[in-house]
Amino acid sequence: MATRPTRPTRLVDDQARVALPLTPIVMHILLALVDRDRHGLGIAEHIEEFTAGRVSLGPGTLYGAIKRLLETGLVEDVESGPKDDSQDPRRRYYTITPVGQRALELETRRLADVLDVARVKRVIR
Amino acid sequence: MNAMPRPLSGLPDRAYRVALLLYPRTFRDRFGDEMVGFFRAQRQAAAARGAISLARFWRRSVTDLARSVWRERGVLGAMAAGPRSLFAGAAANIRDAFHFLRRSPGLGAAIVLLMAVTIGAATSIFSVVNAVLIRPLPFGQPDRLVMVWETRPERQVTRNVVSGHEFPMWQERNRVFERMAALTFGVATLTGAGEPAALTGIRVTAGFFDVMGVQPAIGRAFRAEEDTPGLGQVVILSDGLWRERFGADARVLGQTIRLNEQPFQVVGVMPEGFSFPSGPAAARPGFWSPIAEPIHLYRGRHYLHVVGRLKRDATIDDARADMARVAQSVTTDLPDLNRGHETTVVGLQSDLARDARPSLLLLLGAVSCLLLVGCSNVAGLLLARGLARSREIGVRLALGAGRLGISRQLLTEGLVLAFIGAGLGIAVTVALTRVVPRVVPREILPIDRVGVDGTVLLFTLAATLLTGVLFGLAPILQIRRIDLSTVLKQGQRTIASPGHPRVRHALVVGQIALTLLLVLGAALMTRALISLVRVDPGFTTQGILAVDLSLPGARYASPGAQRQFFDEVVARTAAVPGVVSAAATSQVPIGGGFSGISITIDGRPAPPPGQDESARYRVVSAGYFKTMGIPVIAGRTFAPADARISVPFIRWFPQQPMPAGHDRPQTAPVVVINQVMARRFWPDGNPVGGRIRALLSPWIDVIGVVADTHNASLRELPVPEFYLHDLQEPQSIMSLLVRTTGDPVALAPAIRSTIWNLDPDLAITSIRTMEDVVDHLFGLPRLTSSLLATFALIALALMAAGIYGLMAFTTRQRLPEIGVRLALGADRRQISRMVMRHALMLAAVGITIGVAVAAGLVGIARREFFGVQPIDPITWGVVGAVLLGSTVLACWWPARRASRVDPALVLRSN
Repeated sequence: MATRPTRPTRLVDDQARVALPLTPIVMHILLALVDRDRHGLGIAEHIEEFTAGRVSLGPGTLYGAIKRLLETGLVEDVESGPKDDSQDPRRRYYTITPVGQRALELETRRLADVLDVARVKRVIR
Repeated sequence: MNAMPRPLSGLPDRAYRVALLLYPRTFRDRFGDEMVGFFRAQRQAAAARGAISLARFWRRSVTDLARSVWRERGVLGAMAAGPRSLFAGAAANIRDAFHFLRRSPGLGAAIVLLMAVTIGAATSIFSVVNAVLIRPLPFGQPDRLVMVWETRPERQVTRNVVSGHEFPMWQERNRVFERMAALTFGVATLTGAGEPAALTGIRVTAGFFDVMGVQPAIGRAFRAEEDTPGLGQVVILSDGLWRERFGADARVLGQTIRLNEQPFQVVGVMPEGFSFPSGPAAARPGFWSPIAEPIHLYRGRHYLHVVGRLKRDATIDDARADMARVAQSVTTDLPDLNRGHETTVVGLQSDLARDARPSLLLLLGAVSCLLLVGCSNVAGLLLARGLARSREIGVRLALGAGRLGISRQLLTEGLVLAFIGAGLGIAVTVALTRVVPRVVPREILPIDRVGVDGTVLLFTLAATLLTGVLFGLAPILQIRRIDLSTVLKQGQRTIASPGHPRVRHALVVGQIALTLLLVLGAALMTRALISLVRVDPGFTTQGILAVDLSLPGARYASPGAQRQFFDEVVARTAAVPGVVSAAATSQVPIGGGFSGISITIDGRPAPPPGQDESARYRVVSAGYFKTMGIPVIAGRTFAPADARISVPFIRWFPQQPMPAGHDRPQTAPVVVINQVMARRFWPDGNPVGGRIRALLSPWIDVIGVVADTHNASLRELPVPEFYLHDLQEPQSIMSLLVRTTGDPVALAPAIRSTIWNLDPDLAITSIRTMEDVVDHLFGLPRLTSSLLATFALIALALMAAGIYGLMAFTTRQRLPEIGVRLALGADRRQISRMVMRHALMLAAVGITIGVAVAAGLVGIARREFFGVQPIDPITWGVVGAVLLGSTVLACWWPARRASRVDPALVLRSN
């Protein structure tokens, strides 16, 4: 995979690599944030929906993970979320940072490589 | 959903907020509000889906809390740094507890054993309850899966399979389901992959696997266009079939296999553990294929099972309301067909567990009673020991130990004992869950998933904490009463202050009341089992073998070929030496389900639209009534001369073509009815000579009436039912019933070779004796009543031990008084009567309380006690007498000892 040699990207890249490897929960959270900003409950519901209920997060697990994501700079919180459902002022929205995007991309590529090997060896089809 | 907040609904959220205190402060400040909001939203969503979801939500929340607190606090780190600060006090207490155990090993062993038995029993029962009622089904978001049934409230039909024309209308008009699918059971013979095998196959409508939320492990699910007549020759295999028949080889994908001699292309294999539909009584499906038939044309053909996935925010109540609206709109459009048809929506898990649930809950209640009996028994033992230790405790108090500290010590002792007992109890459960599935047939309980998992451990933990605290509490109540000066003054021979026995009396009374509940439950259940066994099914079961056969479609496509095969196989089987008679039937009584069909009676005014009559029916060969020993009440039964040229004569939908030769002159269709049907439709006349129509059939002549039989279940009364002749209405799936002179099993090989002589490629689905078929009905009640009897016996023994301990103790306590009485010339028999009276009074109080509670409870469990009047003086009287008798036995020895006291000795030593 080619990385462009401009400075900010390399910075992002280095920062992203520090966060690797990502745990499955972290990956799911980042994936949930890729297409739009979401609040905690929204993240959990999205994940449950996408995994047909196989991954179901409780509040402790979710916010524990968010805490670490905030600390490592993979996500940030946003002042006010998308306007369509901001009835609850306590709901904070989370957004994925460029570092988070990059970390997610690197991790996904790594998994894709693993997948290729598994396919070749007929572990799965 | 009703959005009115209940007054207490905020309580769990507040409790959760309190629990947040476990997290480090920074974490709590940053995320606390969000977490409570999250928790509330999830709880409300779970509550809306019903009790099972709510229970699961709580279990998940507790684990989530524990796990994340552990993580955020870095407990591991803290323990490495300074475990002393965290656990110092507790460790010392635990050490002391073990020290006491060593000092009185007999008592310790008794208590541990007692707890092992009661906690083990409770955990075992709970692990079954967990497997059947609580653990999520292995489908995607199983909370959102429901079954939809048709109901006919006017006819007390509560769970009818759905008609072909109804399902597409439901699918189109509902607003609550993300998706719906319909399925129907079939049997197919697999050839070309080893020996021919009869498999249960499920034919499903498009989107079935999306509804279930499970995709094939390899390959793909069905495409929507494959659910079209002519395009449905594709199949998805079960994991079991794939391993057994295809060596778990992924290359099976794309291959063609032969089912009922039709080619089907394998497109996928389901993951291991996916087995739906498969209730307790149904065989596991071997494959799934598209239903691919014009189901909307099959008006009035009730054969579909409907499963739906609720939309994200929809609840079961929403679904019920919406389906009621849909049913109403269907009735408006099709008043003639659908008047009186309503619907019911049931959560999938409740639906699957509906047969086992009452028995399981009964057993869970019983085992909780047993746990409490064991608990109060241990509390009694600890109290007795506590009395012996009151001097030691007095000394400690005198030396300045706080009562709080001593209480903690006693509590820890209780908990240590309970935990050792629980450890053994879990070992017992693990052993049982290995053994039981081998002993209990799958038809009784779907218990292949029983095991000790997180939920079970959590239950055991809760039960252990509860029992440990309960019996640790008793001695604590007692130290509050210790009066230092008397304890120390009286020295070694401490006599308890008068308050102590009151606690022990209460414990014994409680044990007696709980034991009464258990013994009564066991007695009623046993009587219910006896009355079930005594029901006369109306047919002979002795010496009869049932052989299930399924003719593959291609070679036996025509009804004529089917008729010829069964006619031939019955004749040849009847000629086997040792066979008295043989017959064929479309459904084995009791063991083979039943079919219903709507009927019209000639000469009766046509009922209003939608309220047409219906009856159950089965297709049998001429020898059926003789073979099964069913008496003919009036008229005649079937004869070979009834054979018709054109078969079959029932048509299921108006577009169905008439069979070949229907217009040629031939013998009329004939039917034999049962007595209930005769009485219902010909209340004041002879039904023989009357005529009926079944769905779109020509008129059928009633030629005879036979005695009623319990064809579907022993619990329900016989219903209107009629029999058709297999020479007139051939079937491809029938069972051979063979009446033999000797042991029917011994003839099985001969019968099998007779069948294979006729057709070597025919799969024999199963061979069983009719006695086994009927015996299966007793499986669950028998299991329940024997478990209840075991619990009752243990409780009775514990109760007797408790009474004995208390009476021995109070007698010793009253020795001086007894000595004085004897010295003053009291009769020895008076003394033993005094002791007896005391015990019997406790028993009377306990029995009264028990009877009062039982009277309240039997109403709830009434349905479980088949054929028994729950409040029946004889049973209750006998149970009371058993308890009184045990009481007398238990205090016989203390009473006798009291009467043998030497007054001189007692008075001198005082």
